[in-house]
Amino acid sequence: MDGTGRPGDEELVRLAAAGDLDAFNRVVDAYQDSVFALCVRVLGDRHAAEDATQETFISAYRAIGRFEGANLKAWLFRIAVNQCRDELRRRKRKGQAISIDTPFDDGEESRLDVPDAAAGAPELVEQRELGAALNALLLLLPDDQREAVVLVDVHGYPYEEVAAMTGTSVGTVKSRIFRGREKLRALISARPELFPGWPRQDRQR
Amino acid sequence: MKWIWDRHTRWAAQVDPYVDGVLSPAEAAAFEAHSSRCARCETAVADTQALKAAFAAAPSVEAPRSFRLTPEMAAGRERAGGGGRVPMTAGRAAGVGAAAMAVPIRVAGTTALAAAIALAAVVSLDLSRSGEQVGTFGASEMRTAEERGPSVDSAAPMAGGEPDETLAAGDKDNEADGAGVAAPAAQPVDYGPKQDGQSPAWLVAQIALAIVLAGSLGVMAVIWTRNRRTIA
Repeated sequence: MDGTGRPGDEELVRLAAAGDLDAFNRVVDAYQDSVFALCVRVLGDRHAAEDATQETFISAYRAIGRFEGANLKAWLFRIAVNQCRDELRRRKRKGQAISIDTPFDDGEESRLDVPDAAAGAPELVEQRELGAALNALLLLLPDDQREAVVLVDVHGYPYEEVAAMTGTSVGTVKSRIFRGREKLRALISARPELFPGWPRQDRQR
Repeated sequence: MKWIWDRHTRWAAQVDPYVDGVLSPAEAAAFEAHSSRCARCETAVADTQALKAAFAAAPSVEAPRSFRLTPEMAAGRERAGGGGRVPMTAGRAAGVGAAAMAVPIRVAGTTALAAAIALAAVVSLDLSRSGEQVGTFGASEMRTAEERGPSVDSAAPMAGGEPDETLAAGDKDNEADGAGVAAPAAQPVDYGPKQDGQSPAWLVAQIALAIVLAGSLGVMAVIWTRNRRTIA
């Protein structure tokens, strides 16, 4: 999906590397939605995702002089993946687990959805429900599988790029995708009532 | 029967690469030929496509606030907990948290190791001494005894007898030596229990030392394993 960089990124990176904070903040404006979306799905917690997003951009600003390549977003994602891993590790150390009951803390999941203006068409509502249910299911996956599924299925990155972002091999990404999706498919068929928009139900009926 | 299962596993592993479009045209064609005859693969393909479609259709997430950097953030003022490190590679990032955790454990491990080595030294010294013809000790033996000072001090009471007196005698001898006085003639020193090296009290002491040594090694091994598990 994001094979190449956004036009203009190169110039912004050059300016930011020279210490131009305004130029860097235009990069932040351009990518904060995507970075936050990645963090919130991987972490399942909006506050932690905000922290991880902020840390990602702070780290990126410090390292921008070392950025080489065409795809700024993929580079930012790589930093974000590491920030999320740090957070998950901290959590594991503290013995906190993420729970499916509070996937996006205290009933805030509506904030994940499109604005109400877009709600209206029944199929859109259905899609939103399905999306929220899928986000909750993602949290049942092991961290590495969730990370791979989010990068491939939500953000549309090819296996090779996910491998580069997560510091692993294409084979490992493939197996994480396979095991992660297998688990998701099994969870969905186990509780079809949670997935009103799931096409398989129509087929089975 | 097993080969059928194996073959199906092979095809099942192709479902995701097929749906993600990363199979070569020939592989894709072969997979399609199989799945048209295999209900399980067909269902898995349909489910995976639905899963991908659902993720793609999921509403996009918007950042809840601006993450623009303030000049303070850019200047790299110390942030609570965060630190200014840039995780460039997964491997490096993975090491950081675990390493911080491992430090106190490593200190404990090193201490246990040092204790074990000290005990081993005491045991071997005791053993070597017991092998000597006991009765007369020259100045050199005295010096060795002094170097061993603290260790022997702690080990000696276990040996029974009157270790304090014998040690005191040794120290006196050494003082004289250090003051330039001619090395005192070999002087019989009563090392009490050592004279009969095979006495039960001495054996008990050696066994006790061995048990303590083994215990320290055991503690060390436990700490080391826990340390490894923490990192993993």
